[in-house]
Amino acid sequence: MDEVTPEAAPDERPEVAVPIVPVLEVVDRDGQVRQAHRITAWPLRVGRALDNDVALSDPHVAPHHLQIEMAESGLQLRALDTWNGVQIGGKRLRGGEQQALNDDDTQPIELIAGRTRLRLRRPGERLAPELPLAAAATRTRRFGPTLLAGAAVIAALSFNTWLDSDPDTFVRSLGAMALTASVSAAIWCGLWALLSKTFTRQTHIGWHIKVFLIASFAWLVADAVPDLLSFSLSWPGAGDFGFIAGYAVGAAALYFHLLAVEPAKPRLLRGVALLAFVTGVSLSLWFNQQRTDRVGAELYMSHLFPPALRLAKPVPVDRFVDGLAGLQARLDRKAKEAPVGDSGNGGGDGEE
Amino acid sequence: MKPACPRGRTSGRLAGAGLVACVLLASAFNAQAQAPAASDATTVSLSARKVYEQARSQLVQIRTVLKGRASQTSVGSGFFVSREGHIITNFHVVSQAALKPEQHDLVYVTADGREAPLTILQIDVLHDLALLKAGDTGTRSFDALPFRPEKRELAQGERIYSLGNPLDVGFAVTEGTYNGLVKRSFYPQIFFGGALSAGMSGGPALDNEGKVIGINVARRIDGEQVSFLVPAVFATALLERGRGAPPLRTPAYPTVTAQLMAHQSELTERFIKQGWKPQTHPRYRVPVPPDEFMRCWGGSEVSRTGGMDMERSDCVMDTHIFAGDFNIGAISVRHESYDGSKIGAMRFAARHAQSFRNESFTRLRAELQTKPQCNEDFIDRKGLVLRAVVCLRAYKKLPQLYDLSVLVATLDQPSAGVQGRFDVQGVNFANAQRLAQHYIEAYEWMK
Repeated sequence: MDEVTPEAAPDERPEVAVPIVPVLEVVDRDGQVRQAHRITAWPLRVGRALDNDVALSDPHVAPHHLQIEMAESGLQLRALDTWNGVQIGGKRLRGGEQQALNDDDTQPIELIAGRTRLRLRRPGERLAPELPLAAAATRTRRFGPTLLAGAAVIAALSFNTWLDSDPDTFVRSLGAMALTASVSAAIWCGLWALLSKTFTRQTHIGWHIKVFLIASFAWLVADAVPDLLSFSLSWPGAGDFGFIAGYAVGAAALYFHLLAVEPAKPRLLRGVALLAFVTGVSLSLWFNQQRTDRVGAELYMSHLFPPALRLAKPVPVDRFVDGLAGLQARLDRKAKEAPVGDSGNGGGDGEE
Repeated sequence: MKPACPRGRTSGRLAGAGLVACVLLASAFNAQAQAPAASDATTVSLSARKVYEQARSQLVQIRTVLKGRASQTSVGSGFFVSREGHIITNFHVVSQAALKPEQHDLVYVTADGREAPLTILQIDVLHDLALLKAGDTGTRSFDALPFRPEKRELAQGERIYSLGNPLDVGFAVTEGTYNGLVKRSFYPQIFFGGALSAGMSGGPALDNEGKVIGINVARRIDGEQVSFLVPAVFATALLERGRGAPPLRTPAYPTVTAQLMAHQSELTERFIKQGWKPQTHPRYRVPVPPDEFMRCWGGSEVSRTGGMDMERSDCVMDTHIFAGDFNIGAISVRHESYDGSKIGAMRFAARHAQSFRNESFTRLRAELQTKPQCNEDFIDRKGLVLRAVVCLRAYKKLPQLYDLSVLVATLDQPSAGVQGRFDVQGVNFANAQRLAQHYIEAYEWMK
């Protein structure tokens, strides 16, 4: 936009002092600039009417919405005749109110008028260092961890398939597992990439695959370890509440996936993930309580491993049977309670 | 309409299919299926006609009706046993009126259409009998059917006649044979080789002379003309016991509970006394009960995909006690033994765990029974390590009666093992503990 004088040769070009002027940008929610206005004179008036210095077509903006003017103490923002007011930082200026802007001119000032985000950049601004292109294009550069996690997930899934299939059907089961796993992985990562693309203009597919693979492996481990503990040490509680570890892995995965959708708000995303975790766990506990009258997920420890992995000492029959006496008071109390929750007939011999 | 019906039973082999209580609800299909039976009517002997004519005036249909409404909720049969108007029928015919008297009334209807109210005097839940009394005793006297004396035993093959009102169609007499007592029944029952249908429950079975030898109670729905009668001796005992009793006006749960308490005590004693069968597994002693009042079925399965081979045994009691909304008072013992030598330790452990997990410990709806409460641990049986789970459920309307379930898995071999399950319905807590111990202690290595 700077004017060039074509008649002057480059080396003889006279030095013309063009003052560095502030710029008012209209930006998207992810910070991309849609329009930029060089500001050559104060006051600057912004609104929907065409007689403003900057005219916006946002229906939530008043004809004359705000004005930025140079007072003796520095720049001042004034909200004009507007219902919606002007948002600056965490604060909302109502029509007729004003506020000084000159506290720190090294940072751009962000305003919201109606639904339009505005950014005022001033000459004294301090710039952040340049971001390397590759890191900005995708959130991952190193493929090592992704490949490692992928290999671990494939190994763990194949082992589970081997465990659950008979020798003659193993290869077929493996094929079915591979098909299911790759289709679901593609759908999962594809949907996240689509979400990233919608909000950040980049798919971040590498990042999503990495998160998915690491989370899947963590989930497989979190699924198996409590079962082993509950058998080995005869801790039914480990199997009962092992699902909480699974939820934790799920919430962490949610956080890291979201990070590639809304990178600017990690604290909000941590809150979302934590909320999802707490909600999921509470709902599961509540559901268990309704279904089985107890908060744990399993009525009894049902994970049998090879006998050599048992560490807990067996008890004599007498002691075990004497220990049943404690159940009587609990049963008698529950027999007097009105039935709540699910009244399902679980099986055995159903009557009528 | 739901005719009160003889309780259907299934054979041990079909135990998994469950019991079906009322299969013969009146329907077009059944009406057709019964059509050929009409031709049999012509072959009814002269004595059947004589027996029916003699018994006709003592025979009644018993209807349970909703209070304040005309609709009947169930129908059965019964007969007069005293000149004062006492009537014998099955407990299951009047169970709704006995357990929920605030909602139901009882009436009887005679063969000539006379209808009058009824009261319940006494019940015998264990033998499925009830003693009623006609409500119009002030105005008339009644003919009573005589009982055949206990000493005069019938011979197998003798003709007997069962009377009642099947499916509310009309009063009927069906002819059949006496076949002695049912084998392996916990309480004595007569095996009647004739057809019983729903609605005939509580009707009398008479000998040639028109004397009562038993009361219609049940039939097998998986067989033809395999039916059951309660021996008359229990009806005479009930009549003696309850002849002068005041009418029952409140829900009969205390009586039901007291009788089930007596049952569980006898059941526990007899079960523990009979011990276990020897030689049930090459490596372990696995609990399998003798065939005194239980029936066992076994089977084996060799994997066709190179997996785990399996053998099973399933022992159940034929006798169930009907307690209104559910059956109670039976024991079942089953086990499966697995051979995973072809698949190795890890895969075997996965199969073992899957089978161990695939067990339900809930039986009845939440308004009838609590959810299970369980204890579990590793058990040392003279060096043999077991994983045992014991779950108990309490009955809500039968205080101090519990269901016991024990699940056991052996954990001494890396690629073979046995899992057993033991279920007892309706025992007190002390007997539940005794039975659990009796069952778990049955496991040990063969000497």
